[in-house]
Amino acid sequence: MATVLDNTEFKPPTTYRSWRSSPYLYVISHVLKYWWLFIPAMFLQIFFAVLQSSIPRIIGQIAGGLVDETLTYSDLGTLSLSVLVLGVGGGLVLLVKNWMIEFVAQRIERNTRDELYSSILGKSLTFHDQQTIGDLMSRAAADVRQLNFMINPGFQLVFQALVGIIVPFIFIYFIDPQLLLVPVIFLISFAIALRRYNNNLTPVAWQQRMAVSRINSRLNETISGMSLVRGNTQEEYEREIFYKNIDEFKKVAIRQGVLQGKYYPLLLLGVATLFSFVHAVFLVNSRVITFDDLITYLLLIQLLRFPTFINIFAITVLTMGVASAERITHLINWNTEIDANTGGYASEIRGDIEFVNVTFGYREGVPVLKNLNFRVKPGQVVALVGMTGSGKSTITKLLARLYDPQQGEIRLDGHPLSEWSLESLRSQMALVEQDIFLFSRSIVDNIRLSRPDATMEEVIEAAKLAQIHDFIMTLPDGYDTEIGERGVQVSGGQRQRIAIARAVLKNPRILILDDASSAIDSKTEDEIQRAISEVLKGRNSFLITHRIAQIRKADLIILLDKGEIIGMGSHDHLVKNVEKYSRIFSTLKEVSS
Amino acid sequence: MGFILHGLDKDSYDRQYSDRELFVRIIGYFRPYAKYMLLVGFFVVIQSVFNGIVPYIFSVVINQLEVAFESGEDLTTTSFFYAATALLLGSYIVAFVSNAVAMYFGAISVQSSVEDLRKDVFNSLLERDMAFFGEVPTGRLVSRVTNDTQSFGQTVGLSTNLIGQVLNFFVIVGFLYAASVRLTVLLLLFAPIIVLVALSFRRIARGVALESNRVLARVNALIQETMSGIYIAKSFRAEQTVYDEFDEMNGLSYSVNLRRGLVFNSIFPILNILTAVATTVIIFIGPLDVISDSLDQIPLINLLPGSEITAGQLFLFLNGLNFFFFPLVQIASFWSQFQQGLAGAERVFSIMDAENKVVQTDQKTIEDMKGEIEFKDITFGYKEDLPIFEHFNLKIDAGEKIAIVGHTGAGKSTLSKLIGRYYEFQDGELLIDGVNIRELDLHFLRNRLAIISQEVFLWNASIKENILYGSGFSTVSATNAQGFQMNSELKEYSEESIEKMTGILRKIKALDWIDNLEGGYDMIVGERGNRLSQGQRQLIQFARILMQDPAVLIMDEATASVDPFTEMQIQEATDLLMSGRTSIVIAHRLSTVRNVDRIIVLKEGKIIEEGSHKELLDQGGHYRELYDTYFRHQSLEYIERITSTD
Repeated sequence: MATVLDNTEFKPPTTYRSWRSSPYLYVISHVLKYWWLFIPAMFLQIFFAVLQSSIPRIIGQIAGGLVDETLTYSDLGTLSLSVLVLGVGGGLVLLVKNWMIEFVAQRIERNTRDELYSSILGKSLTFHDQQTIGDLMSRAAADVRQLNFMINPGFQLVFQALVGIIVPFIFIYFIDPQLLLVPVIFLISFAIALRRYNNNLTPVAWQQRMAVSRINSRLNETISGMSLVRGNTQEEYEREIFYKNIDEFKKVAIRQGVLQGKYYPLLLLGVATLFSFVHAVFLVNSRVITFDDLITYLLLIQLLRFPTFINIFAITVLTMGVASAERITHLINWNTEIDANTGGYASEIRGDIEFVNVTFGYREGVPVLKNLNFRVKPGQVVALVGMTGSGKSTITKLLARLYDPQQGEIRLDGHPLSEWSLESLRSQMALVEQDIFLFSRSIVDNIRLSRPDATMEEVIEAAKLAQIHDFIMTLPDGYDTEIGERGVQVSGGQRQRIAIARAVLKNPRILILDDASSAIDSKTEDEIQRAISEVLKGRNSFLITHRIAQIRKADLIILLDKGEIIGMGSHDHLVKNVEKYSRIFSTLKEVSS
Repeated sequence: MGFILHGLDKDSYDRQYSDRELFVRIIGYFRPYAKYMLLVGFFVVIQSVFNGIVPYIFSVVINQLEVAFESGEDLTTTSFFYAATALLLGSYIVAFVSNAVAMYFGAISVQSSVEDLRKDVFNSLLERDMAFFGEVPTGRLVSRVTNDTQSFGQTVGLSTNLIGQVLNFFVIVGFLYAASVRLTVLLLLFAPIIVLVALSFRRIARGVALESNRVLARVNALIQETMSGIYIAKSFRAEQTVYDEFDEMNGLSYSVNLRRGLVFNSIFPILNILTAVATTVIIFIGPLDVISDSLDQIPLINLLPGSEITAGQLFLFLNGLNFFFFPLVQIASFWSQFQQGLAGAERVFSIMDAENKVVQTDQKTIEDMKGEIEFKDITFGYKEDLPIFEHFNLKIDAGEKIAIVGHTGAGKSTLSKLIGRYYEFQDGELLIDGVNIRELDLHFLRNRLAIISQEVFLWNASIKENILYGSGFSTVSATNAQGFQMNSELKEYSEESIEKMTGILRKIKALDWIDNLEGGYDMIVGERGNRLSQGQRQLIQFARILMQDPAVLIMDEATASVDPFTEMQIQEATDLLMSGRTSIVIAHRLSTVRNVDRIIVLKEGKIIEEGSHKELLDQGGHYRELYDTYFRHQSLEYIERITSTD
């Protein structure tokens, strides 16, 4: 079973040769990577069970010696000493084994998270658009952790239970095969009861998880939208939802309590202990076994206590782990179309951009752009104009090959975008987006994101150009000031200017400004604009803006309506020929007069 | 307890309660379920006693068997044997049933009181000042309502468990003592060792666990952040940078968790070793006492009555070890776990007891509210010693449209927050239709008032549900509440409400693009409406407000960033919104600012100019300056000029 080679926009340093066709195989393939630890650990587990099961035999001898008064002082010393050695040795074996398994479990958490995360990072935006961040987070954090728990304690305990039952059985067999009668009946009924218990418990455990996430997600919204709740006097309604959610949780939690209370294997073990005792007493009476055999036998039966008890939760952890593995492989196996195309065409962009019959929708069958045709010459400034939802930002996203069109082709300098090396393509474009996103790191890191190798001088130069340098210098740590949740809060206009600096630092061949300066006052914006056009002379830029002055200055204005081009050309041309365009200006005139 | 609080962020409203206060309050939550709790206690006692009896009966039978074995009698035919067997069977069943019943009633009482607590804390959240939510991150509040209440419940679960364990311990020790004082005392010597091991383990474990939780929080934060910014990371080809950061964090998480795991995985082996040592002591000393009198030579030990221990008693002791060790470990770790639960309860109570600063003195409503607003001598500062307004006066007539302009920090938004009762002012009077705002019913006020801000909040539900939220039409849905957030079932609205909604959407010309969406107005808008553009979100909000039909409308920088086409459309919608009600527009677009009845120019909390657009522009004062900075670029003259000079 070989690894499937998926499209990826990002090649991580480590690739895992994991099997992803089923959740079981997935976990196994990750475990096998550490077989040299895992398999010896299983042998240590067996060894531990053997050591542990040997102790009852010795104690039986002491008890027997006590009964028939043959026990000597030196015998007692030797026997006690061997119990000590076996017990302490067993503990040490257990310790080493636990550590080995724990190491494997932690490694698996690390590796699967790494694999999942780099796989997510490599997927196109078509994938990301369909995910909620909360869900990705819970898979990359909680589900991956669940795999860890699945190995330890999950598998570890189930295996320990299995060995912990089988090995004492073997010891019992060697006392007298007849003695196995009750234990075997117990084992069968135990298996049946355990199966039923888990079949009942697993769905409840899931329901409980669901109930918690339901409470959390609505609560999160209610608190974020508190002003809305109150403004519409919907307290009663929200209360009802919340009460309903917590009530559901309560019911599930109680059901879980009831199920765990009714863990029949414990009762079965009690009854089995009793009947094996009775059976053994009969055998002693009929002199089939000796008195010390009886004690040995009873102590061996006692050893079954732990395996019986531990499965109250161990198997659930195992099944939850399988479900988590399924959720993880589901994401990893989700193939997207765009590949880094490392061997693709790479060259400096001249800026001859051509959209040929391009149709695209974020979801199949719901086109956002319909049969688009236009051509941009090198060095042109293009303004994209149209109503909200008309597809302006989408055009720029296609250009950066964040998505592939469903029909048609986009050509850059004569080569279809799909032929370009993604690295070469994207590294020559810069984008300042509508909702500016800054990472919670230092300002310099945020600006440098576009070019990690830029020198400090270059960063400062870009910041000056974006009119943000002076502001940065007023901050306590200057460029090293952390921004975001744990650092300094920056205003909308400041965010936009940092994003502009980031874009400029990249020195792009194509610059995309998607409503990039809405929160900057017009005086500053003018200055920034002038500086940008100076620096990026001869390069292409795409503007989406509500500043009419900028639209007017563009070389090419593309007017969109519901994903179709309804007008294209210079300002003068459009004012004369396209009614929808001229209307913006007439309303503006009305207002001004 | 210092190490518990270490690293946990404290919030401004957090308070300290004495343990006594906490106990009293927690017990208060269990009072309604006292019956159940008593049953739990009763069955726990029963269970412990019968669990303890079992090994004792075994030892007695084994003793008898020993005697019978030597004398060659057949024990199995004696009534003693039958009785013992029946007793054992009965004990097993009684212990099992008692345990099941105790767990059942335990779950009921714990979960019910947790539910009550959650209700209380949720209701108190509904009562908190709006300002409270601006100050405390949402995630923190959510975790208090769900996690901290849960750990409160666990505290009680632990306590009943403890009763059982302690009882179990004493029953066993009692039987052991009866069998052999000497051996029991020797065994008890292990108790402090085990407690010591458990405690020191606990201390190490707590440290690493805390560290591990913190790393997990950081991994979560990192994933959340990088996934939110994936669009940027991709367009800048910054995947490697992002990955490197992740890799480092993942590595850190691994090493911290490994350390934690190694500690946790050591406890059982170590207990195993201790058990082995104790077992050795019992099986050596017990029989030794029988076969020689060497123990009687040892001082101190010879003071204890030693006895001829039988095989049955030996069995009892070995059996007792399990019942003896594990309760001890649990008892030792109880206190710190219990403290954790108390800390959870403390955090929950803190929210419930946080004091509102905004206090209404009456619950008046105004029939047919007109929307006249008057600030009379208002003094307010977010901090009392830093006033933003001092003796501020402003009267807004019913149905008047005013614009408030000024630089950042002039106090524009503060005015809207005072009208919305987000903050309490320190001095003066604020009148709505002549009624003191402090005497109004808050529900009433907020229902008649709509504040639109730049950040639009939408539920992760359909467009329809968002528009109809709170419009009084969702009676059907209230019973369907759960479907609302899981999107599993669509709510049914009355024909009338849908008709009204489509009417409004047609009026604001939003029907067109909504029809174009997949599913039309049944489309789910995503978290905070992220599947829609800003302009679309804004329009949905407008429609919602038109359904609500408030008397007073405040637009706080509401439409700062929309494209000209959408603006045209929004403009029409805005006009519609503003007509027929008192409207306050804060630093809005030029077109809106120009059309209002009156412009108020604010500077450092004072009205310095006031009048129409033209008047103010002609004055050439502060408004002129603001106009040049914020609005001029939107005017046609400016555009004409700038393009002609190019």
